[in-house]
Amino acid sequence: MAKKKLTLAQKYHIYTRGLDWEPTYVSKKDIYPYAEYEGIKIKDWNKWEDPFRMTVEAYWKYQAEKDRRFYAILDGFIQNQGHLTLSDARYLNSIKLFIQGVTPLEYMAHRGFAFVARHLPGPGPRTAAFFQSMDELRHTQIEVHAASNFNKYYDGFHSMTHMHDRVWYLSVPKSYFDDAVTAGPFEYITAISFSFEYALTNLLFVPFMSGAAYNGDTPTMTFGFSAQSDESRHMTLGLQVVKFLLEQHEDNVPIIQRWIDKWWWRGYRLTSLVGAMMDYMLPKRVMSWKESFELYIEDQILEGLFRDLERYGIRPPLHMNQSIKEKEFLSHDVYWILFSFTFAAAFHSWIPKEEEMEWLAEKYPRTFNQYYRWRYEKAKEAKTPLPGDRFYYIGLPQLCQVCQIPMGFTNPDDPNNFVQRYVEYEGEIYHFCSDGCKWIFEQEPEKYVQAWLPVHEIYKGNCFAEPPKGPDDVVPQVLKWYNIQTDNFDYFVSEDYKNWKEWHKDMATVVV
Amino acid sequence: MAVQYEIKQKVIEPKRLAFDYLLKRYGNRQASRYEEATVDIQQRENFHYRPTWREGVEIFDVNYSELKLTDYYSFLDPRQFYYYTYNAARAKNYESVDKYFEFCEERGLFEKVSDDWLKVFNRYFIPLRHLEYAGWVLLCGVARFGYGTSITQCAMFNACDKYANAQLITRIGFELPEPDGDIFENAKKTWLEDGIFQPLREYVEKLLTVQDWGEVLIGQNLAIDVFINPLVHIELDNLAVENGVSLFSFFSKYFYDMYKDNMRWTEKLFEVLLADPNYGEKNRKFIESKLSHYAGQISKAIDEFSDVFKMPKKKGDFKIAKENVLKHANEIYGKLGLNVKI
Ligand SMILES: [Fe+2]
Ligand SMILES: [Fe+2]
Repeated sequence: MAKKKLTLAQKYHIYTRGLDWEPTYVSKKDIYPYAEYEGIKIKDWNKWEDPFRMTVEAYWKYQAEKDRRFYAILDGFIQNQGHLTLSDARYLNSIKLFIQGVTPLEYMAHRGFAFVARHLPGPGPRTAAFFQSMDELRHTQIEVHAASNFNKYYDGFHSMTHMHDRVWYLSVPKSYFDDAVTAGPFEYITAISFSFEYALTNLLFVPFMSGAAYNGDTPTMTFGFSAQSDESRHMTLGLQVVKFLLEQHEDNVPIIQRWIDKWWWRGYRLTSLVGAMMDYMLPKRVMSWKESFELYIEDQILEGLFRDLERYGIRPPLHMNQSIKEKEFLSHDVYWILFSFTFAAAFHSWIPKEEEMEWLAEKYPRTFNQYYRWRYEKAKEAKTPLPGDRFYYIGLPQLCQVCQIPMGFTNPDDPNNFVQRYVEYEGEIYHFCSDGCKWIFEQEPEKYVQAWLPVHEIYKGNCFAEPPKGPDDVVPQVLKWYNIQTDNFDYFVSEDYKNWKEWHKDMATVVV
Repeated sequence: MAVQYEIKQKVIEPKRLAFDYLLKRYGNRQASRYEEATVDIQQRENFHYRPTWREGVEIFDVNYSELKLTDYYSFLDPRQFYYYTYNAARAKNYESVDKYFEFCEERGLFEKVSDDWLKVFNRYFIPLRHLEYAGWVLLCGVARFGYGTSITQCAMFNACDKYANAQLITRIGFELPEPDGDIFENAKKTWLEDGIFQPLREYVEKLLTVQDWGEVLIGQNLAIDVFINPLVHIELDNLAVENGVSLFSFFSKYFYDMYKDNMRWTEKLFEVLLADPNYGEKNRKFIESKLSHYAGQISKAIDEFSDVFKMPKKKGDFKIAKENVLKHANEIYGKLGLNVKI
C-alpha cells in the first residue's frame, strides 16, 4: 500500500498531539489534577490550531544557530572593551533595573511554562508551552551572560537573584510573576501568553532594544533582535490560546474577561518602570513613554486587537481608560519615586539635565513643567546628610497592596493630589494606588493579603542583616540585608561615574 | 554625527571577577558560563502568594519531594549544559541523523525492509513513541517542581530529548511502507491493547499521577530508561541484525547514546543525593524502597516482550536478553551503591 499524502498540518499533528492517548489504568483527573478548578470548560482539545509548527530537531538547529551568533557578538564586545563606548555610564542603570527586575521573571516564566507543559491536558498547547519554557530559559541565560561583563566594571549587577527576592522596588516585578505562577494553568497562560506577551511585549521590548541600540549596548540589542523570533512565537501562542478558550464554551467568556481586566492592569503597572526608564534614564532617548503608549497600546492593541475580540464578546480591559488618562503622568511619577528612594536602591538616579528637562517639557507639554519640573529644582537645594547634594525622601513609603509601587500616582483629574484608595477586609485596612489595583484586590482578597510587602516586612523586623543598634542603623542594616554595597545614591557621586571619567580621561575623543 | 572614542591599549582592572553569589561559593575567581547560567538562579524566598492549585506549598519548595539536599547546588551537571551548549550539542548530534535519512532515502532502504521484520518492528518499536512522550510529560513536571536550577535545567533538557525521541520514532515511521494501513494508528492501538505493552502502560500511567519529582526520576530515569533502552536498542536490535535487518542499528545507537548522555546527569544527581551529609541516609531509604518497587515492576513488565522474540524467522532468546538487561541495571545500581531487590 502506498503512503498517504499528508499536509504539513496533519504531519505536525502526528508529530505532536498524535503522541497523546486517553489513559485507562488511572483517571485522567489524577494525571492532570489542576485542570478544572478554574472553571474553564474545554469541549474538544482537537479544535486547537497550532500557532506554529516546530519539531524539536528544527528547534535545536534554529536556536543553536541564533545563539552561536549571539555569543560571537557578545565575545567580541567583551574583547574590545565595548562597555567603554556606551553613550554614557548612566545608561547602564536601566540595564541594572532590567537584570534585577526582568531577568528573574524570564526564569519564572521558564518554570511557569514547564507547569503548563505538564498540567494542561491538551497536547497541542502543551507542546507550544514547552517550547516557550525552553525559550525563557534561553532569555534568562543570555541576559545573565550579557550582564556578567558589565558586572565586572560597574555596580548594580552583582546580586540580581538575591536582590530580586528582597529589595523593595523589585517586589513589583516579583509579585507580578508570583501572582501568575500561583494561578491555575489557564489563568497563567492567559496572563503571560496573552496579556503580557501579546498585549505588552512591544511596549517593553521595542523601547528597550532601540534604547540599547541608541546607546551603544550591542549585547542587549543583539539579544533583543535574536529574541524577537522567539517573541513572535510567544505572541501567536497568546492570541491562539485566548481565541481557543473563548470558542470552546460561552461560560469561559466572563472568566477570560476577568483575567484580561486583571492582567491588563497588573502588566500596565509593571511596565510603568519602563516608562521611567525611557523618559529619564536613557542618555540618548528613543521616544517618550506617551508616544510609545499611543503607538503600541492605543493604536495596535485597543484599535486592533480588541476590535478583533469584540465578536467573542470581549471588551477592552476594565481600567484601560485610566491608563490612557495617566499617560502624561505615569513615567514622571514613577521616576520621581525611584529618584526619591535611590538611597535604598541598587541603581543610581540623577536630576535630569537642563536639556533633558526641555525634552520632557516638549514631549509632555501639559504636565512636565506644570507638575514635575519644580520638584527637581527644589531637589537641588533640599540637601540631606546623604551623599549626593540633593533631596532623598528619608523614610519608608506606603506601598500599594497589589502592585507594590509606593503610593505616588498623580490623579489625572486632580493633578495636585495622589490617588489613594483603601479597602477594609477582615478588620484590616489595605491601601491601593489606583482603582485598578483596588479592583484586583477585591476579586481575590484572600490572595493579596498574603503579599510580602517590603515596607511592612522592614517594620516587622524581617529585613535586617543584624538587629539595628539605633534608629540611624535601621537603613544600613536593611541595605546590608539587600546586599547593596556602593550601588545606591546619586549617579554623580557614584563609583560608576568616577571610574567612567577615569577610564575616559586619557582617551582622545574623535568626532566623526 | 557620532562621538567615537579612540581607545588606547590599556588594561582596566575589573572591579569584581564574578557575581557576588558565585564569589561567595567559589572564592575570588572568574565563573564559567555554565555556573553563571545555573547556580543560584532560581528564586528562593519571600514568595508573595501560595499556589492556588495545591495546598501547603510555596512556589518553589524543597517539600515537592522526599529527596532533599543540604545545598541543592552541590549537584552540577557533569556535561555543563546550559541552553546554548545543550542546543548546539543536540543540533550537531542530529546532523548525522539527517545524513542517515538522506542516505537511506537515496538507496530506498526503508522500502526494502522485509515484510516479516516490519511486522515485528511495528509491534515493538513504533508504539514506543508514546512511552517517550510520557517521559517528556514526566520530566516537564520535574523541570517545574524540582528544586534548584542545576537540577531542573537537566530535567528540562532531558524532557526535550524525550520529545525528540518520540518525534524521531515518528519520523522513521513516516518513511516506512504501510502494508497494513496507517502505521501510527496501528501503533497506538498496539500501545493501548496489545498485551506486550499493557503492564508497561499501566506502570507509566500510574507514574504520571505521582507528584513527588524525586520519585518520578526514580521511576523514569532509573527504572524505565535503564530497562527499556538496553532491551530495545541493544537486545532487539541484535535480533534485527540476526534477521538481516541492519537499517535501524544506526537509530538504536543514536537513542542509546541519548540515554547514556542523560544517565550522566542522572547518576551524578543520585550520587550526590546519597552522599548528602544531612539527608544522605533518608534519601537512601527512599531511593532503595522506591527503586525496588519500580525496577521490580518494570522488570516484570518487559517479560511481556518475550512474545516479540518469538516473532521473527530467526527467533531470539528472551531469557538471555533479559539477563543482559538485568545485568545492565544491576551494574548501574551497584555503581551507585544501592541495595535494590528486583
Ligand atoms: Fe522571555
Ligand atoms: Fe497599585
